Amino acid sequence: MSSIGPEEDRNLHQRFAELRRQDTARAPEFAALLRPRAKRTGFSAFSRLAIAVACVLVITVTLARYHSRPPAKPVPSLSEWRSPTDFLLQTPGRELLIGVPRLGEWPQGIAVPGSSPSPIGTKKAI
Amino acid sequence: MNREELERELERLHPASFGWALWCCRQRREDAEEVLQTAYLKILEGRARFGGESSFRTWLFGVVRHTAAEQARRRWLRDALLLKWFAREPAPPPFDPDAGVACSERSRELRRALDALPLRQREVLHLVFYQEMTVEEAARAMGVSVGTARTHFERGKSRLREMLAREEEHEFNRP
Repeated sequence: MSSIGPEEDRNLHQRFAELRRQDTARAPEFAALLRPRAKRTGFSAFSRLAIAVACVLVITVTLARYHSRPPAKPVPSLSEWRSPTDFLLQTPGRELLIGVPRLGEWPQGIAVPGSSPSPIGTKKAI
Repeated sequence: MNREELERELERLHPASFGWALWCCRQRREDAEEVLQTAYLKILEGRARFGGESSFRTWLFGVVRHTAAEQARRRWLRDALLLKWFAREPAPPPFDPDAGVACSERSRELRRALDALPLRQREVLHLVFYQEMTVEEAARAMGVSVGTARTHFERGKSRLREMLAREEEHEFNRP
């Protein structure tokens, strides 16, 4: 049983009894509660329409962006790939730097000094 | 129990159940009616079955309490979702002890004081004083142990008395 002391809790009992009377007076009809009623969803018709429009917009934009993308270029294999700045490494005289020069031999591909007439030093005979 | 017997029992306990539902829904009448309707339908459609382990009233109050908690969870989820920004319907009004009720000043004080208590204390005080249950029955309806219910009951009672005494003192000193 509860541990309510008869004297000390009488006041509380009276106060709660008063509350009970007030609540009972405003209780809805039992039969009315058993009748089906419109379910409250918490969203008005406007809200539902706004949600639907937002969903359609998101789907449309996503699909449009997906279809408007250009087709991806084929990726070249690593062995065929050449750097676009490769030509910068073709410096003049780089043959001299590739190997060790030997005495008496002139590296191939490089003009021997004095073998061709200088365009500045030639004089035309009049 | 067949449907007719269940309906008779529910109707007999309806005023008390409404009082309990009101307290489970923090005095929001519309919510209390919805909770009570859902609980009645659960029982009549056999989704909640009375096993006979306690009195019918204790069991019914447990179903109402559980249904109110479910509804509160659903409301919280709905409010937590982004969709809440689209909801144009106003949120349920906050607790108003005087809403539509011809209350005496004493009742208003009691409702205010009860509302300031923690949920468990409020529940056990309601079940014992308002519904005139024993602490054991209240514990069963609340789904807690008797010891826990007794602790909440004693603490709640003591705090409630303090608050009411303070209110009365305040009233007395008012010019």
